[in-house]
Amino acid sequence: MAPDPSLVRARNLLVGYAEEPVCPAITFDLRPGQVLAVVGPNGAGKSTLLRTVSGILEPLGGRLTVLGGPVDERSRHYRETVATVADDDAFFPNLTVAEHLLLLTRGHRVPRPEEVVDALLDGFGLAGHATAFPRALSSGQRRRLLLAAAFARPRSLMLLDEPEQRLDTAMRHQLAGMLVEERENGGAVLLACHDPEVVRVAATAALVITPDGARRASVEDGARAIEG
Amino acid sequence: MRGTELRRLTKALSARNATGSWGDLASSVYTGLFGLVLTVSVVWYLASTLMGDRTTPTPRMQVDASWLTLLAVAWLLAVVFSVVSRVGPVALSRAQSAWWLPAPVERRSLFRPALLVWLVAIGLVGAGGGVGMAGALGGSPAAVAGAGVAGAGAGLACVALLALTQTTGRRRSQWWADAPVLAVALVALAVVMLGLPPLPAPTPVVAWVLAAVLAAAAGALWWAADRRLELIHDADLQRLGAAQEHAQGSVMQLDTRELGRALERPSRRFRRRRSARFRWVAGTTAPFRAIVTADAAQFLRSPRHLAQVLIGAVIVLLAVAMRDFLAVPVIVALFAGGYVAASATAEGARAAQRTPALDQLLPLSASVTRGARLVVPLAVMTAVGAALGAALGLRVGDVGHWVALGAVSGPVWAAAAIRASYRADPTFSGLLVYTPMGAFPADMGKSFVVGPDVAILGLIPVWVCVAIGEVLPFLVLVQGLIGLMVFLLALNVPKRKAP
Repeated sequence: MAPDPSLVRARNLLVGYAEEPVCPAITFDLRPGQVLAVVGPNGAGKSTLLRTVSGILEPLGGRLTVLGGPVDERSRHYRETVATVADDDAFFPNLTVAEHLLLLTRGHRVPRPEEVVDALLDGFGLAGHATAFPRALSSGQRRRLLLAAAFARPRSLMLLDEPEQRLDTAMRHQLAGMLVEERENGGAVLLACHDPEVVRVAATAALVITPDGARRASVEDGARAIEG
Repeated sequence: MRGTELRRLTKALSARNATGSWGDLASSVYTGLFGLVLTVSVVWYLASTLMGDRTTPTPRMQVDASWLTLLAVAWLLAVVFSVVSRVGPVALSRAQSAWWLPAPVERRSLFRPALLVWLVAIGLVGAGGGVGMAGALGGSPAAVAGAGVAGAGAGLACVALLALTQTTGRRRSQWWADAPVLAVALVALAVVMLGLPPLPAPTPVVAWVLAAVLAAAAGALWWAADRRLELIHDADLQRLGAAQEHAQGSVMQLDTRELGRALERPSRRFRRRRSARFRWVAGTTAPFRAIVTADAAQFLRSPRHLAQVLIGAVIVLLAVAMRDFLAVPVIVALFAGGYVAASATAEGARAAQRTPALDQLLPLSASVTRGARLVVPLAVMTAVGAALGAALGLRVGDVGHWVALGAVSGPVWAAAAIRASYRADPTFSGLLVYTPMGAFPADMGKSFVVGPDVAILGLIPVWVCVAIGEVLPFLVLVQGLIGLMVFLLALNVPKRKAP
């Protein structure tokens, strides 16, 4: 039997809090080279799904495998392979913007880390803030730093929870372009998103979650579901 | 419906919706209490067995109890000053900010009650401190009364001064919060080193002159602050109000870790001149080094945490240097001071507990990551333990063995600090216990247990040595083995449970 190429595989997956599912059962596969956009109204369960796939929450039912096995965010393999951007500000208050990225790239043994960091600072519009502490940044700039950190390190799978939030239009375009590049390089992205343009440009398929059910849809259907 | 009826209805509904009992609440602290009783029993038994006919040698450094009383009162006032400067004194809750600040009304009378609450509270604390100190020094009733008024005046002057700084429109520097506590610690250190003679009992004249001066200063500062109250910026009122609400919530939930976060004041520095390059983060151990480097930078760049370590050490030094070497106060001070110092070293772990993504950034398993987080607390607490051991050795003799014992206690302190930092938040979605103050999660007592339990049980050899006033070499070995065991246990990261 050929090995399952899916990086994420969910079958009748139930996600929620305190034994209460927040949405109907979800089934999907995510393979290398795919960007799956998870769309739906507020409270549909998009973030809860991403938190479950990233191991922060336990599944309430069904089956979920990530990287071919049950989710274990404690393992070295998971941490080598999965880059997550959630909605929290994960910073050390006494390290500068550049120091965060340098520690991350050096910690992942990225070749020529200083050049990589300089390029990311330029790309995410943070070059002028390299020596600033995160608290000195605006919420949008902090979001850029979190995204830069996700792109600074090696990864096969990205879990992005509404990465477009607090970004200006130009940065959203740039982010969409980077996601396209990511999938063309063989990376996989699970993307909870409220921006139809980002979905149209970057996604290869959509997962629409509503109170009536969760269904796999085309990119255009996903974008329209956002537009209402 | 009348307000009283609404209040009663809310209370009744809260009680009905509570799913746990007082017994559930007690069970969360049961293991901690059990550990404490066990430790006391073991220490008492071992100490009485090992004590024999040992005598305590003449100390080389001594502090009179009168100085301890003065320092305790000064420290109390400094801590209160520090807390008030972090949350006020003039602050508005989120609701008050939202509904009052946009209103075109005269603001002095709007803000005055917030200030008055602090003035009364801190005035009472100051009065209590003054009365306690003068009483302990053997002052006459007139002197005690004068000291009470002087203490109240000092408290009122402090609050009024803080209010006055708010009216300047500039955000107070972090030093306002940290400097008084640090200053008292440095004075205490000097008192220990210099071996000053006992303080005389306060005379009524001195006490009442001091009371008059401080009351006049408080009155003048209050007058100046009150006239300028309306100049306080909205942003300052909101920021301090948010901190006050956060702190109140943490106190109500008995969550010491959250209280620390609520009282944390970020530095006003927004950037460094240049970023460090961290070139030593390389090779096969690069991920491990990256975490250690981040934690070390966090610690070394934070004056507050460095000061906290110093303050913890000074607490122990004061107890060790008391004229009469009493085992119980020294053990209590060792536990309190050591825990204060150890807590300061685990900021990286606390940040990672709040945002677990920080621990998932690098290609290390969770237990190796936990090991990396232990490095800074281990290094600092081994050094602090050795220094405190040296102080104990100077006090009772045999410096070498005491230093060794202090050093091998480092892993226990590190493990306790990391365990406390990573303890789970109280689960509001689980059992709730109704109390007159509201509904609380049944596991909220963990805040006092998880972390300190490791220190209490893991340092039994240290407690025994202090109790008998001597280090027995085999107890150093036992302490080392316990430290190793506790350290290895601290590397364990349980799988996250379903919420």
